[in-house]
Amino acid sequence: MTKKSAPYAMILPYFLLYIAFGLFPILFSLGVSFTSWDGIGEMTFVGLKNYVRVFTQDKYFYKSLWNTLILLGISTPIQITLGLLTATFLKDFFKKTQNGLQLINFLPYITTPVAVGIIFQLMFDWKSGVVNAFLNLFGAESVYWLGHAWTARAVVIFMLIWKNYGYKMIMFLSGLSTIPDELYEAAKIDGASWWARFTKITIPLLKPIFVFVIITSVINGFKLFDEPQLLFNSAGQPTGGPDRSVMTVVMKFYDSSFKNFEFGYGSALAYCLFLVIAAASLVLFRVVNGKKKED
Amino acid sequence: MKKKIITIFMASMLAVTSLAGCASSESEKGGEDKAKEEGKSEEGDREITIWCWDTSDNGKNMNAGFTEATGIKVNMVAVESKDMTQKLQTTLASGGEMPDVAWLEATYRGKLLSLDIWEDITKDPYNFDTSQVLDYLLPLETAESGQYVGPECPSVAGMAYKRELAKEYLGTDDPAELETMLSDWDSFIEKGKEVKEKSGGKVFMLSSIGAAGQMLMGQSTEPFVDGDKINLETSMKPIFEKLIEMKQAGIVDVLDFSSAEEGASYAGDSDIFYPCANWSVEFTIKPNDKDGKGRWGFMLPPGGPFPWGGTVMGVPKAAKNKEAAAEYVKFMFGSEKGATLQRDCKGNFSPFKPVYEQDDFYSREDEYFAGQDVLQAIAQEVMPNIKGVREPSKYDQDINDAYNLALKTINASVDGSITADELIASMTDELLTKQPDLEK
Repeated sequence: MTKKSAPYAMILPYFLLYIAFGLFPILFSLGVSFTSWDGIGEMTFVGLKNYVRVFTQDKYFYKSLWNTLILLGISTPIQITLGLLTATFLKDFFKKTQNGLQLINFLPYITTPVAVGIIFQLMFDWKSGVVNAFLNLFGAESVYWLGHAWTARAVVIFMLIWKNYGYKMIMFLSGLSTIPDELYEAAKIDGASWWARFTKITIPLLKPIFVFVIITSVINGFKLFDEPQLLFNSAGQPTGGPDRSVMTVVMKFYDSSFKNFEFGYGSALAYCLFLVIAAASLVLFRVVNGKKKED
Repeated sequence: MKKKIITIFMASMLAVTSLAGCASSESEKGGEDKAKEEGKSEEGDREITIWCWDTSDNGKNMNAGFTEATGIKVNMVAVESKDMTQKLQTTLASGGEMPDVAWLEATYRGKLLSLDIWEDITKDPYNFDTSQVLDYLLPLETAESGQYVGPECPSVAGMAYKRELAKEYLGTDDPAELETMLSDWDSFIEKGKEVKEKSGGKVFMLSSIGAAGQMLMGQSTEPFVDGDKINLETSMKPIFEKLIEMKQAGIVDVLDFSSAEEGASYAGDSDIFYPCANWSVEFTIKPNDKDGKGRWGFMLPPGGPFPWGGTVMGVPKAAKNKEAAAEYVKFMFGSEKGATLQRDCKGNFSPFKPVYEQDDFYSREDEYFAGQDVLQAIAQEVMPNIKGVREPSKYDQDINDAYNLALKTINASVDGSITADELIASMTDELLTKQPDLEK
């Protein structure tokens, strides 16, 4: 082996695996998206029919997209705000107990989604859930949290925030560690308040972290599946909850592909989701780059 | 030179370790293939693999009886009922090893039977005799194409009740008296109103709208989809009307059907009646009400008994040990020995007609039911009174999902302030969106 070919040999295993488990499925599903196939019988080429159906006949595609946007649009800003504030408070006010508190806040993120689903199902049960028991203490009526569209969405949003803000906190903590203490000390000497230091030093210098967190949150948000799926997973529950109010695009794709066995249509849905994510990412990048130029 | 050797060594190690998983599984698979050729395990014995969701000791003991009688070993692999179709499909697509017998549960049965992957075990060389199978089961085991797929244990249901609550609020815990008192759904609703008043709204006739729906759905045989035409107006509307009436009367608790909370309610004192299939006794009532000895009673529900559940045994065309698999199916579902094993190990009923000619074949006093002979009641009162079945359809899963959505809506509606027409319209819309081939 020559000196030139050695690096190629080193990276070859990765590329072999990527071709087998990444590239091939991507291209295969693109091919499948132009067919009608139940996964067992013959594939029939149908051209763009599946894509036409997604955009013109399937109201659940738009509904699932709308649901995803609602869940994403409400939960992401709250997660980021909460993550940022927790990180800043931990750094500024809880120096001695920072590690312990950091772990406590991060634990929901590493809790298995199945357990989270069951915990939330039990917590928000209409009759025996602790949330309603708490409301009853103050004389309020029990709420059928998982039975109405907006309350079900609220539960999923709460679940997403609770589960993910810890991850954002870790990201911001790593960003905060790169800001030199001298800046804060100088500002303090100049008489800047905590709020002034937070808004004039912390937030502007955390911009790269914000960009990373926002973009990854949006991409992951569009891929949302586990949490709403697990909340409505038992036998008597409809897919996507009451009025399909928490059916996300990935759930819709899963429903079509693995429950109805329309692999062609499911693949077309997956590619439509890819287009949506690509467009959203592009817009976000544009926004970020635009601001950079202004800077 | 040394560096070069290290580089080559590292690269080879990386490549070998990354591909080791694939290589070893391939070679192992090849070895297994040879060993399992013609259904023979490594020791030279015949062996079949069953994909099922009950791998409990009861199931193992039952299969041990089969092994003892035939010498064919049984390997049970746990697969959730809801994952069965996906697992079968991915195995077929990847060319993996198919099971010799697959369990096909009622909810997914329509779709599963419609897949052209099943061996017709009524034909040579298997020759499973369907004339010995209970007649009402045959349509449930036949694909829309007309092909018979495989037998199942009859799954029929009546109604279980909590004796103490029945005595307190309905004046009796005797099954015959309760059957006379609650002979139809109208009298059930009327009595429910009395119970509600007497208990101050704390005790309900049923635990969930879904429990009521399960009985009403089972009691009707009208197809939800007729060919490609949606038929909800005649089939589903009367069911919704009755459910809304129950909701308006306030006689049904607010629990979600089949939820953990409903499971917990079996041990509680708020709900009197539950739909009760033959399998519910061992799988639902006893596990959920561990201290419930003597607390329960069994009766025929208003409107009569109904089929509920059922698991067809399918032998895939791509199975390796089809003959041994067919032998298993014939033994377990087409012989008295199999029926005895099913009864003694799992409390299952057999589809094998001749055993019902013996009055005492299914008979056992049950201490949970205060000594009532539930097995005999099911064999002699429930089974002969099943009026018919709704034939499986490839749209069953979609219908079921849309129906679950409607149940949620009824349950969430304040005092049943929704109409059956609204529910039918929304359900029709659902089905048309999901299945564009269907017509209104």
